Amino acid sequence: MTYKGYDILALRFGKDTIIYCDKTLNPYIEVSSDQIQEVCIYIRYHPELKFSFFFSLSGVDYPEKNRITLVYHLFSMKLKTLCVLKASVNRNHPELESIESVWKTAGWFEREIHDLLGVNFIRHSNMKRLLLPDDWVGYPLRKDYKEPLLYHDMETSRDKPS
Amino acid sequence: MLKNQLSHLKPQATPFMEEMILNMGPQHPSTHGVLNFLIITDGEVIHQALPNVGYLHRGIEKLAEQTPYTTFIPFTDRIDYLSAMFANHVYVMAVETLANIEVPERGEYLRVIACELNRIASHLISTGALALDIGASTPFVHWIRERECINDIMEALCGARLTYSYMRVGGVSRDISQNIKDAVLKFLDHFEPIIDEYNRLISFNGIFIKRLANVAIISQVDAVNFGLVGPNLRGSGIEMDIRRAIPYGVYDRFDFKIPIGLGFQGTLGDSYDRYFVRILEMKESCSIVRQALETLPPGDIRTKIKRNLKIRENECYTCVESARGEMGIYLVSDGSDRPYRLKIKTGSFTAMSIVEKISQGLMVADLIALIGSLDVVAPEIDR
Repeated sequence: MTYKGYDILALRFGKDTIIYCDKTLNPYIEVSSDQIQEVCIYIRYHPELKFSFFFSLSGVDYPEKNRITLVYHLFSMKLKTLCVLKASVNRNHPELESIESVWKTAGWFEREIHDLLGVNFIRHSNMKRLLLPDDWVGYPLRKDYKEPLLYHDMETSRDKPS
Repeated sequence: MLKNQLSHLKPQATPFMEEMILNMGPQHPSTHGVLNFLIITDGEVIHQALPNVGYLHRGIEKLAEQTPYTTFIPFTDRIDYLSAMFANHVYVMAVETLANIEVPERGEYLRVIACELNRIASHLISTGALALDIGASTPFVHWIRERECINDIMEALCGARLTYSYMRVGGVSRDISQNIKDAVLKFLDHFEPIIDEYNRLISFNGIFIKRLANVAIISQVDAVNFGLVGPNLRGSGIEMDIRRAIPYGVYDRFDFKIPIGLGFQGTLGDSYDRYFVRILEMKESCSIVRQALETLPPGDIRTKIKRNLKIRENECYTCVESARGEMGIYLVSDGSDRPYRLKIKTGSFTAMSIVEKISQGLMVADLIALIGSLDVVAPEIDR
């Protein structure tokens, strides 16, 4: 994201709450987790930003920092640039505002993250597991995940793969 | 049992009065892989269709965290078996961006040639299977014949017909020989007139048009809101192509048009538009391959990289325009020889999420046309 785009955002939300970081290859903006929905609405509809394309939403688990970081990738045809938003939540009580109302497609991405990382999205229309069975135990993409040995009395691993 | 299953999915998905529940898939041939739809219908009209995905979830993202960077390439073939080249491309691009590896020019050109040939092969299956799904079996056989030529070229180029693993970190695995070049040109000379023949056979067929035109219209607002990408988005009339919007590789050197839907036989954004955009895209791909072959520079095809590639702490997002639209990889490295986190974003995933909205009020048979025109590939949804 360009500095110009960040300046517009900083003007609205203040430089203390949203932090610009360009140490990584794609510079990102750190947003506090309770403001993510407001920032998303603003960034999507502001006439000079228009980040209307929602590219992806990923979750990254950092056990040593005890947090899960959610990474939003947005794209603006007007500025022809990528915007990366990051919001971190506590790993023990991962809860965050859903942005399904801003981009409908985010709903499925959030369900996938709920499924694989165990993050709860508040005010999501259908917060159920997406890929795994509903009665699966654990969140596979967490770093300390251990696969259950049995699922409905079926073994999940084989000693000698044939 | 079925009622329990439904209550898991959504509370409002309970049949009412004369409604019944119809299970489409996971073995239905027109669902393009293992997909399951729970359809609530009165017999003809769909009141609600709930996609139930996850049958092909293999945990590729988790596997990536246990696999060294260079060893992961064959896994990417399995994300989308119809266009494996793009998954190869986006992954090696992500690693190259992070590790700051330059790709020789010839390598980039070979990537473009391989990708565009793969795009043609993928669109052949997509358009042919759409015709097959709605009852016309002849075109599919014709398209399979053409695709066979591409498969032969790919076999000569990289040794595999479907799961290519052609791309390497820093370049490509093999150089193109004069024989393969001739074969590609021969194929293009043969194929370009075939597109018109195919149009006469099926695209302008009255019954085919009636089955697709004005069916399952996706408005521009919905297309952006549901994050549609690639031909599905362009079918709704939005000119968005990653090759233009975020140019990667050497795509900025080629001259090609971006076909968009215009309401060719009906309304803008209907199934026919999505279908016909793919036909037009194949012509553009042919032209890109020709240009790339003409201007193919001499030189190396691959930069030498360290055997044990380690990348310091960083992260990046790269995306390519695959046959099913934007395919992105978010890669986080932590200094070791394997990714800390790898997220794969695919076009079919977002295309699947729109089915629930668009299918309301469709005929059951039109759902097949919708899924076929969205060109959904099941392993790409689940990864």
